[in-house]
Amino acid sequence: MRAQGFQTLELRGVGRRFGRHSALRGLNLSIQQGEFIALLGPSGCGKSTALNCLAGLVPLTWGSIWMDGERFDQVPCEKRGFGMVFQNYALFPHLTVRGNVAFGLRMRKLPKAEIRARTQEAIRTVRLLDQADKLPGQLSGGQQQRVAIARSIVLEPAVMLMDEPLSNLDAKLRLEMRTEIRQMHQALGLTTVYVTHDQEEALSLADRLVVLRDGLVQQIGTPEDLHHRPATWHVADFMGFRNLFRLKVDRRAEHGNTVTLRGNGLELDATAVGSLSAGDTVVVGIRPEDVVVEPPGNLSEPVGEPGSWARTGRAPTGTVLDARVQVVEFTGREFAVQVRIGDEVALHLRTPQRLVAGDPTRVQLPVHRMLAFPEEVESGSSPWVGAPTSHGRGTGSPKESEVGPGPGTGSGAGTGSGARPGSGEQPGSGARPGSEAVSQ
Amino acid sequence: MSVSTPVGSAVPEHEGAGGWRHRLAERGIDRQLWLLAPAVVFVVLLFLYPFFYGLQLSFQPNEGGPFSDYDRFFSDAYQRDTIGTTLKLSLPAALFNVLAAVPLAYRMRGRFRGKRLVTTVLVVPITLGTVLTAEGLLNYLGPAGWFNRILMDLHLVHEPVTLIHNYWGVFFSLVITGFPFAFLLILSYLSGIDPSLERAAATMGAGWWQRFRRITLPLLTPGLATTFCLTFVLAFSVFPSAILVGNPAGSTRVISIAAYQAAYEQYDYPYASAIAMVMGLVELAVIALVLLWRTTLFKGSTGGKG
Amino acid sequence: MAVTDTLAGSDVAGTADEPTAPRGKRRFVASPAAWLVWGVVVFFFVNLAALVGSVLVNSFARQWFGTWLPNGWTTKWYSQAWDSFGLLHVIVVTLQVSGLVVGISLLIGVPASFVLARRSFPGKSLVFFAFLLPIMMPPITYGIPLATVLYKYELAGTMTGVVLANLVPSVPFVILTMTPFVEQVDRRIEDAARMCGAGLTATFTRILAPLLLPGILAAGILVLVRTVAMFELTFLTAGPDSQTLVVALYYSMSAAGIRAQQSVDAMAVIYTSMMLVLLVIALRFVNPTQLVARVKEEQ
Repeated sequence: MRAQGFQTLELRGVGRRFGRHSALRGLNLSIQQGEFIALLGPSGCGKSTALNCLAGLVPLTWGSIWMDGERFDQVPCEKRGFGMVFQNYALFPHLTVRGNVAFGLRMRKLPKAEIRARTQEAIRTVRLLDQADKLPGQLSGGQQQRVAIARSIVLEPAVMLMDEPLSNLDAKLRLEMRTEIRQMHQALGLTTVYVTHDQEEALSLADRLVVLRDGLVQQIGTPEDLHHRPATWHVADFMGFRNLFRLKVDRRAEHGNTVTLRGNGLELDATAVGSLSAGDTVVVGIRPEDVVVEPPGNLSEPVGEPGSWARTGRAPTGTVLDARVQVVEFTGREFAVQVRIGDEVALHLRTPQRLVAGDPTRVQLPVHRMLAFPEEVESGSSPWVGAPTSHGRGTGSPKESEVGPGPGTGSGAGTGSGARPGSGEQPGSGARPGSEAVSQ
Repeated sequence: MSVSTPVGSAVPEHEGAGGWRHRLAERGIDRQLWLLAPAVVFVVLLFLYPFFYGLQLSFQPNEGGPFSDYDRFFSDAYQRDTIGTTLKLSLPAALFNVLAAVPLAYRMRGRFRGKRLVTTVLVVPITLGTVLTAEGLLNYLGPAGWFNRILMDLHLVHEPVTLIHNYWGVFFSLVITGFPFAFLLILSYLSGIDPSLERAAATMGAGWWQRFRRITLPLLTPGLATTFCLTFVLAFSVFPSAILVGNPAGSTRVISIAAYQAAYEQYDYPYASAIAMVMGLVELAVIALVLLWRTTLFKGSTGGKG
Repeated sequence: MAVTDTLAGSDVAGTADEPTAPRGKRRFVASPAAWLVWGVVVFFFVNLAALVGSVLVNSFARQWFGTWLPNGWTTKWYSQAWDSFGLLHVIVVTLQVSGLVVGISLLIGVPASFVLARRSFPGKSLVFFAFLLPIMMPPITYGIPLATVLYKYELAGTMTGVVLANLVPSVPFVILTMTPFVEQVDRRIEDAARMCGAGLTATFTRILAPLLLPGILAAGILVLVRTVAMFELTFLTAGPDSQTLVVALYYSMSAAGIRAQQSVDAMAVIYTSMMLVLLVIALRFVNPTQLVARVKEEQ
């Protein structure tokens, strides 16, 4: 079947094991016609596995895929009618641009005239008409990428799968192609699943993002959701929260989500993500660009007392801390600065102020930008109670959350690498190998 | 999309078959593996079956108990000594070929004019094969051959040196076919080693000997072991040249001659099979020793290719 | 001719490498080790040339006893060898056997090499080991049992038997030669073909076969050269009508005394020229190192 015009494509508890390593577990995702979904995560997180499972290039170990209520995961890859753009383009080196684009149509044994017309149209869409008779080896990287895209769109695929299509291009070209992909998606309305490790790319392209880590879904949501309300500190780490450190909850405000944290010679206020109580270890994070550097004039005044909101009842704005400048890098518009706070905790920040290494300064950490996450990650369900947890189209978060792996033992700004999930268990969604019956 | 789409109806129909096929596919077994079938059938029918047929034949001698042919081989000094004769020829020849090839290949590992010519000419004796080499050796190294004439004209010797119909004739034949083989193999292993490693060592002040000894040689060792094995296999199975340029009744009566005589002169196939099995076993034992030495001594050194 | 072509090629490479060339030359002059190495190489080549040359000279010699060169030249040994050994028949048999071995071993070996290079499946290492054994074992070791089996099924002495025996090392050789070529083809290209709707057969015929063509050519040529030169297996399994040239040459040599040495040498020269023609053809398609190693030399 060539599944043109489906309504929903549903992944239920999809997982894949390679040998004894579970590359992907319990992926639940419902994709609507015309949506642009990005699978985002560091390398080895299972995002490419997910894409290959969807494409049918890799058989599922667990779970099932459904298209409008029809079981779909045992349809052979070549019969799914999906298109795929590969990271290294995977063009047929012995065929011309035209031959590459026409290949899929030839496989469908369409009439010659139709093949010619549709091939021409697809090549025109990617603006390569003047290169149409060249071999892939004679084209630049960006042109090859366009051929790969033309080869997919010419088939009018039900779903367009893109596996890090821009990662082999240089920075400038990457931006151009990003815009082109976005435009093409808008013009053709092709349902797209896009794999990338570049959070900026994912945020700018996708309607919804799926963040993966160690084969498990961390969060599913709109770009705004993920940017403002990361569900776990791993997602935060990936979303640009460069400053992450481990502290303990000292006390919690009676109202609202504000908590006071202690540790490493620091005492500061933060917004709790999820339920936290006194004594819990948390990972607290803030983006470098959210750290405010106090103007030099304020340095003589005493530091505001943390927890003052408890007495004054005034909405807290942020914790002000003394700091010492360590490294200053000029980045063009502003300075990237590393300062030390508390007991030698490194804090990265960005400021237009010209700071000098070795000098004292004072920074403010705004409470609503300072997010405190439970150290033990509970993946899947969003801890943002009350916050719109995304996906207006009523899909998304897996029904069952899975207890994620414990975080790495490293301190503070852990990248989360090195932590391995307990290997080999069943996926969370209750899919049992070999026992799915289609209830039709 | 309606329930009656091709996909929707196709899947449940084949659910039973699709199920186990899918499970096998997930473990890496699918239709593509059928491509391997002809080759497997071939190797079973033409290699494994004859091999095991020969093995069981060797335990069914024309007379005596199951081991009497092996017993016959090992109790007869004339037969038993063929093992030693073969090893005495093949081990030095293989060792010489590898050791002589290493410095040459090391010298020639870079690119230079005429490299392709050198390698092309070296390929010639390999492709000519042992029979022609033997004929050439008979002519060239014979008592009236050019080689002896040169030695005598230079007054290095007074009478022709006997270089054929003895150990040396076979040895030369093994070098002529084996040395280019070893050289080309080592050359290809050497070109698989990143030359920037040596340059890096040079920037740290290592001389050429240190560079060779500390960088290239360890990386090359797995390749050397493989080369030695392959050269040894060539030398160990020496057969036509042992008859043609050697002394097939005496100093170069190698084990293949014994096996051949049993099969084609005495028509005693069980005995011939027994000798062939002994031959294979001795060869595999030597190879196993070399490979074992390689893995124990040079664990972790990866380099070259293979 | 191919050799000159390739020489021209290496010249081009040499000029492209101009900046490093003078440095290489200087080191060359300075180092005695280099002279030693080149001395050994030249010594080897001179002896090799003399070895082949003595056969060549003798085959044209009217009479050659105890002198530098024969006392007269003739081509009569060639016509004599041609007639008395029935060389036309032998050459035809040789070509038939080699052609069949090449064709069959490619048909069996190429798909197998693809699966072995690409896929992992239970028992793969065992299968791989089984393919490696015929190359690692002396031909005599498996040749004698194989000949016995062929006698049992009355195939020994026939051309079928010779072809079957020669396939034993050829199929593994094709597999080993093809493996790096298969590995060179990006497996994503196959995935892309499947995503374009191509099934297994179409992926093979439309995409993989054209991409693997250089490897298939190389493997075929190498098997051809090796089969023509293969002595032991043919010797053990051939009958009077299914001898290849190299076996006929061996018989004429070991029966020396019955025929003039020159006649044998004439036959040897015919064999040599046949091999050289094959070699020249082979070197058009493959690198000299590939004739012995499955490692592709990096340029």
